[in-house]
Amino acid sequence: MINFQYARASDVADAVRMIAADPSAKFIAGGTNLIDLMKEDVERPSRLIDISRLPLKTVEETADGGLRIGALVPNSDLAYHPLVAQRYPMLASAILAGASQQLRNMASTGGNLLQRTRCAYFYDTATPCNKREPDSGCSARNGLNRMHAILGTSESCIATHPSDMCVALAALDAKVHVAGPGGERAMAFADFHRLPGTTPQRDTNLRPDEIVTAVQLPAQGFAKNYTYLKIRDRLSYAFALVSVAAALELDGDTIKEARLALGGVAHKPWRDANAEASLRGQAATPATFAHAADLVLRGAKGFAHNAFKIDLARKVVVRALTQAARGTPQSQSNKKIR
Amino acid sequence: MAPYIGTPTSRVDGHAKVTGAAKYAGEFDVPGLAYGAVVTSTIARGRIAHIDVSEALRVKGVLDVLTHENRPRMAATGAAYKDEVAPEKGSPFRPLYDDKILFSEQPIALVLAEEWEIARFAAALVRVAYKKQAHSTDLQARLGKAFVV
Amino acid sequence: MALARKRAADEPIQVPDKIAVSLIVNGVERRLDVAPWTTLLDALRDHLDLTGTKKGCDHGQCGACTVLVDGRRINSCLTLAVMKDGAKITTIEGLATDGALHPLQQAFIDHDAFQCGYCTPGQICSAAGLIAEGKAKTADEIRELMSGNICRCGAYPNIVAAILQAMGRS
Repeated sequence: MINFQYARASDVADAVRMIAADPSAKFIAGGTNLIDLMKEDVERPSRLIDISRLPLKTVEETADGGLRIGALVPNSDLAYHPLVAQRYPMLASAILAGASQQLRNMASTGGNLLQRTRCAYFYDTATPCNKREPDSGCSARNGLNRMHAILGTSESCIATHPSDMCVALAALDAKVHVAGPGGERAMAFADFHRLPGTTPQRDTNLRPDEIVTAVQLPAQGFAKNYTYLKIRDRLSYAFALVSVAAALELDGDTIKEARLALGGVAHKPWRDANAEASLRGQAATPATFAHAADLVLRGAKGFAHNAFKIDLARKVVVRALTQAARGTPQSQSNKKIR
Repeated sequence: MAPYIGTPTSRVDGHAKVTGAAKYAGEFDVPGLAYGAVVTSTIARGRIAHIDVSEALRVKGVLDVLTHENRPRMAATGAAYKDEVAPEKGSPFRPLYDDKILFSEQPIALVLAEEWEIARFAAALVRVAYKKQAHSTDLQARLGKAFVV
Repeated sequence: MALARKRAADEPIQVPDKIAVSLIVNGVERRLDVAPWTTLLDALRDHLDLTGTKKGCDHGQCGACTVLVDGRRINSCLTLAVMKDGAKITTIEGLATDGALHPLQQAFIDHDAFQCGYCTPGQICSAAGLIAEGKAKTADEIRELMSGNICRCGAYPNIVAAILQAMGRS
């Protein structure tokens, strides 16, 4: 771990000033990913700016019937918040599917968005990694890549984004509020995380001198017909091989609105507009779901150890849509998949 | 003897373990306690061509850095390490013995310091150049070269 | 063994200055000077000689380092002591009161919920946090919400039984 300076920000403006003044500084909130990466010498900030005491810890209803979640709300608090449990249960479910309760108690909303890939080569400073060191190479493409991406990959990088919460936020069309020297702006969730392209070292479109202040949810929470289905090697406490957040608005048997987001398969939560469009106006049947799944996985590319994810993802999409349609969301404590 | 067989009995070490009183290795504080951090090989097979500990030695609080070049004297032959369960052929692994790398993450240096984080920090400053050789992790492919006991 | 091979002429590489921190550990204020890079776990074990909390993986994956901070269970290996300045911390050493074991500690003994005992302090502190959260009611829920604590000896069934007893649900 590098020899770093420690400082505390007194408010958001102070935090922005401090990070703008020092490009090699990093914010620390929960620290569950950053400290891990610092112990491995993957992250080597010259200064840590502690933002954990900033007043960004509330969950508030917004005028349009949505919810504004402060960037420092702990993951566990968010999952158990009465308004989230009641109006956005898919978000609560996704949060509870990830990590452990200790980590969820520490992790912040903003930090969950900004967490970095768990690719073993990204973590191992003795191996080439374009994300860690641009133009050094990608060790995963011809290495051990069982956990890696099948969609949106590039020659430079096949890493996945590890978050469960973000898959649900993507499906819910959340907005990310950030503040910088130039003021505040809001980003559509789909625009927050990047695909690797030729710049895998950049995970997000957050500027170096900006801070995430809140995540905002629109009014529609799909509380009646949703699921978060996570498939992994263990029953708990493991990253997704494939996960799906599926949400439907039904009119009888007909799908009025559909959201489908996949985790474990790409550099960001994966949504496919064609697949969602194919569901709208259709009957909620196995055939409809299978067709949507095929559309999502069209263009999927497997590597030596993860090609199984393509067919697995197809099945998980169908099962998730089925659970959502039936109103039988996957329980995160009773693991049986019905 | 007879009353204990099949009878649930509280472990004698139970109280110590559930209260945190039980001490494990690394939990005994003594005056002048030093801390170590291990530097490990980044190749699986080959030799250390050059190991430079000069930067690590400059770190405030570092006491010394041990490598194969300055380690304490060790028994030169494997015979010194034989016991009832040692294999008949082959040689035991002796850390920091020489410049040969036998496996990935083999310990190749030990940094000694006054504080643990200082040892860890200095360990990252040890510079190693290797002469890398091809390695195999396929047991089946190498079966013909195995020792037959 | 030849120690101190440092050459006086070489410019020393600096290590962090210490910062004064106050932690309220098991009800007692403890003042210590720590470098920013010292985790809460190492501050407890090495600076305060509270070795009950264990270092298993040091990367937030095993739960052996679980303590309660302001009533919540966290992995102390993934937070810095300086960040917890002023916080109330409960470690395994602080669970028993006036010599009487905490119900969880007694339950772990009653159900033989350990073998080597290394994961045990983390298991017990985590279970104390779990009970305070009030979310787990069934064995399935206990298993899920205790998934951040691993036990290499495999005492899991007995750990769950012990927690159920402590919750008054056995």
